[in-house]
Amino acid sequence: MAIKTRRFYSARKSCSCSMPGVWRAVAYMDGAVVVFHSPRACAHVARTMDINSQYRTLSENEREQWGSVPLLSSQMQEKDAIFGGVARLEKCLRFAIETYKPKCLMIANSCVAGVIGDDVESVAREVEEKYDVPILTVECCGFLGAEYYDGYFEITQKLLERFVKPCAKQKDSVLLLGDNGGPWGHYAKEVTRILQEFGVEVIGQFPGYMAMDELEKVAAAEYAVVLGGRGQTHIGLRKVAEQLQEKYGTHYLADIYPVGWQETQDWVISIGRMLGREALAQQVLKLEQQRLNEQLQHFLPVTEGKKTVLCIGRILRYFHPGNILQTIRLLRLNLTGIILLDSYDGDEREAMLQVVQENSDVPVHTTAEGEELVAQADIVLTTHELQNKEARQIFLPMLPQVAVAGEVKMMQGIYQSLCSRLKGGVRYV
Amino acid sequence: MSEKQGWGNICERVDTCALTGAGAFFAAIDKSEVLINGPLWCYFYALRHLEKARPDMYTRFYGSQPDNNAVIYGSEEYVTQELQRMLEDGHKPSVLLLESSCSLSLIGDDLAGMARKLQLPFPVVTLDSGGMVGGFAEGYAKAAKKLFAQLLPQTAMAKPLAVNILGQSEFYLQGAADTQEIKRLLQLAGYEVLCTPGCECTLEELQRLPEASLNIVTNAELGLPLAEYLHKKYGTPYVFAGLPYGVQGTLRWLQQIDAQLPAPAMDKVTAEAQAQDNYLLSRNNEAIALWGSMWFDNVLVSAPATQALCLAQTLRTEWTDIGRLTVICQQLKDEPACDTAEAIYTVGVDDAAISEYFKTCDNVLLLTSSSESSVLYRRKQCSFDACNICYPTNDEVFITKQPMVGLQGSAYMLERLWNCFIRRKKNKV
Repeated sequence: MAIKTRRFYSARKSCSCSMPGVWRAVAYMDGAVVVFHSPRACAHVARTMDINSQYRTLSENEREQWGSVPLLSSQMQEKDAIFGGVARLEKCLRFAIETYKPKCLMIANSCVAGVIGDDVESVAREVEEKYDVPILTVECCGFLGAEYYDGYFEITQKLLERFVKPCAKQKDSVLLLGDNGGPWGHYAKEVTRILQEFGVEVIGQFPGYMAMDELEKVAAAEYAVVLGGRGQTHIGLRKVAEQLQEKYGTHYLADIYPVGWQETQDWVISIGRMLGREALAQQVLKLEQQRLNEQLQHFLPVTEGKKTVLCIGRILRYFHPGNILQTIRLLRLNLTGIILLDSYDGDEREAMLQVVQENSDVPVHTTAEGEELVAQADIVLTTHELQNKEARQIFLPMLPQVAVAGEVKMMQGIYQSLCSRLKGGVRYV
Repeated sequence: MSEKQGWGNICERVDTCALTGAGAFFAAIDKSEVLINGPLWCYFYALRHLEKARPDMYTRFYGSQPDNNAVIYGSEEYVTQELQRMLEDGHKPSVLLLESSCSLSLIGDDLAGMARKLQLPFPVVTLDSGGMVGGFAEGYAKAAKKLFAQLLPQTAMAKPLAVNILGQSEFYLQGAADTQEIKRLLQLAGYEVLCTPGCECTLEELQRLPEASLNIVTNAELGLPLAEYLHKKYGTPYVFAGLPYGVQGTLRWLQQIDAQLPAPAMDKVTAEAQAQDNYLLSRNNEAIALWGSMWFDNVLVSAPATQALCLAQTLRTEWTDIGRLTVICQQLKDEPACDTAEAIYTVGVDDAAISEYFKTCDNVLLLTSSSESSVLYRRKQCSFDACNICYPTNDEVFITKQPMVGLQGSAYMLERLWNCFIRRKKNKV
């Protein structure tokens, strides 16, 4: 019988909305105010994301060091579909300026505004001229031909063009590019820790986490490090880094996503190369290897030889199996099979199959063949939650934690799951 | 309400989308299914909200996932494809809600026509929904009235002592438990409860709605539009009773209903109330003997309007002493009187005052959602404790189904308040 996954769907077209991307790009930039030209509910969705992100930070025993900026909605209603929503938007912009005295306003357009064809650009220009407050607009409208990252990068681009100015370089300074939960998130903290071992200082995280007043300083950084990822977000951040290099001579590191031990090693070596401190990189690596080994010695007595199944349903753009396969090898787990879930369209299954086979000689199965394999496994590592109460599952996240701390956390999740006397259950690492 | 006053920061409000509200009304109908004709993003956020009360909601909640071409060429292809998949998979829901998100609503697709073409072997209710309609309550009411118009009998004979409870949702925090307690109390008083729309009901029960002699409205934002519709269509009288918090509050609540439709067994409720009162008094005295009288310097109650006002009224008259009580109503409606609060604010009307409250409050007990806690976490230097009474509830886990209303609910709420009081005392040491 085939294994089944919980809350399973395959994303056919656009999966996300560009408005939260706009919001997130400036969410913690003191002096900014975001206006959604949308029904009020769209802003509530962004607020839901905001609350979830805040409590996730708290769950990691961290606390945001400062709060998010005001988020307003023009509160479009059914009548606006007939008469247009620009008058409503103009009132909302005026209110935002008079109430919050922002240094900059950002407008995100909803799909509704896109369908009715509101000329947001003209309203923004008029209000900007009248109040002398910069207003940034974007072309993307909600989910229409755009995704989350389209909103994020369009506004990032405009911030760069409008507010970043050439200035003297600050010696041994680094600018982090990207989000990943901000300066208090796992990624930025781990990268900052390693960069400190190289004797360089992080002077900001762009976009999203620098005050509007600080933006001029973006060009002061000697180096930029992209908080990488996969897919479009990474491509966009790389473009930002390229621009910083071209315009301000900022050296950057972009192409390595330090998930798993191999990538972490490559990342540290590349940082050393970028900073011209290759010898120091070897010392840093040694320390990191030591940290990893200490933890491995603790995990191996439990993990070695345990029957493990890997279930993959995510497309290659968002999930490369190489990292988790390496973790499996480091923990000396006994990988008995890999199951490709029924979520792939067209060539995506073939692409994943090819990469899996390049990285492992373990047999690959379909969901139809998978039930017995899962039933016999001590642990299942999976990109999709399975509808199986008996299986001990480790949910492989879309944004895995990075470097040695991230690798140890993944290993710890597997170790704790194998130690658990509870039957089944899902562990989110 | 002036336009200027209504724009306030979304981060200080709580709501979801009409798409979610409409889905929630139908999701509460036994064996119903919902198909969202809208982007995956809107579908997913609605689903995540509904999963709070029904973790298996994904098994009967689907999305058509149209792309941006659908707003030009129509979404028929996507809707038909999903409906055909349902047919092929052998789905036979008691009723299907087919609703469009806001942008898809604007293009005027004939959803009913699409369903008719496929000759679906089950009833289908179609709706243009989404954020343009409003928030959760507006979507809930619009969906309910559409179903009433389509699937209720044209006429009916009123049965003596038969009542409906209008204004409940199992997708409000502890909504199902609250509804069961209200139903239990009414049945104890000798009424026959025909139906509880929005909460654990069947289509057959909904079709008996017009047989009631009296409709009892609890949450105004959900129930009043339904009561008004049923009054207009069938002449059924209604009473806006609000929510029965506390022992005396429950008796007062029941007396309002008794005044409209005399209860044959009021004495049974009075006897149970007396017994509960005695029990709570003894438990209260025991707690006072050890911890001193319960006292909170400041309390904020923020929730959907009826809930906020009814709870605030009981809070100060039955459960605890308070220095200053502030109430924030999340909707503007005709509400029950509340004379116990120092300040009552309404979002969209008193946004500046609400903002000021969040900036200055301290040493406060929050009877709110995690959204308000989130605002105060960010403020830092603000001492507060949270006792969530509505969604979202990120900083508290709810597993047991306990009513907050009625005689049973009065014990649960008193227990939670005492535990907050004790926790605050311990934290001061």
